[in-house]
Amino acid sequence: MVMSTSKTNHRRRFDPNALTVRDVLTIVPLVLAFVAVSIFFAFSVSDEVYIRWGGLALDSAIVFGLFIKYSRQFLRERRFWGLTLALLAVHLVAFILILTHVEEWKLVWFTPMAAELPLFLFIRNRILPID
Amino acid sequence: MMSTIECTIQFAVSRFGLAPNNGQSYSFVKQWWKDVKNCVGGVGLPAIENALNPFSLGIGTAADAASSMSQASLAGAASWSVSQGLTVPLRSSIVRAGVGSAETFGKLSGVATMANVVYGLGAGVVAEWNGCL
Repeated sequence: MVMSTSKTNHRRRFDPNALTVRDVLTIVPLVLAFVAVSIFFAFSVSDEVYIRWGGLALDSAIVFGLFIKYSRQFLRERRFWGLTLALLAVHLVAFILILTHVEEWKLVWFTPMAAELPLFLFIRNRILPID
Repeated sequence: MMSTIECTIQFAVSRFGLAPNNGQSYSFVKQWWKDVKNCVGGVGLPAIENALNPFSLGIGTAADAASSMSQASLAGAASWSVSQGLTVPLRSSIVRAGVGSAETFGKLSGVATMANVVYGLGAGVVAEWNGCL
């Protein structure tokens, strides 16, 4: 339907039913570490800081992590990393401006970040054409 | 028929000259808006909605349970304080324990809610990639 040219066919799909022992030994400590860090962070800062800045950090990490994951064919290109840094800077500046100017913020209000991926891929495909 | 957003974009293009190259910028914005409408509205948001659905069993259930326990703990402390006719409730170790555990469950509920929202956003973005990008 949209922007279809950038997919690679040899992507490894995540299948929970086909996990190996090695996968489990990698995933479980990561999840436990994430939970421990989250709990530690939640107990050491105020609710407001946790929701605003913790939410921004985690949700941005998800969006940009997946953007980088879906851009495997560009990982060796310097221009791609420049573009990613520029997009991250714009994204963070916009959210920091919003978060420092609104009185109330809820975690679910970060979900419109899902609209950024089509924009990022669209810009990437225009700036870095696929051979 | 043009939507309000399309009208606004067209106005911005004509008023501020955002399209110097035969409307290239305009078509850029228009194309992105089309993607957002189709992909985010049609695929991403339903996936997020599904992940955050309070009626399905998931991470959100843990958040709700922790939140309920926090409220119950606080209510228990308050009712104990009233039943004993305490004039300075926080002098009672039972009330202090109730308030303390309410705070702990509240924080844990926050952690679970954060995990749920992050999971929902991730599910939405992955669904967009698999479904329409």
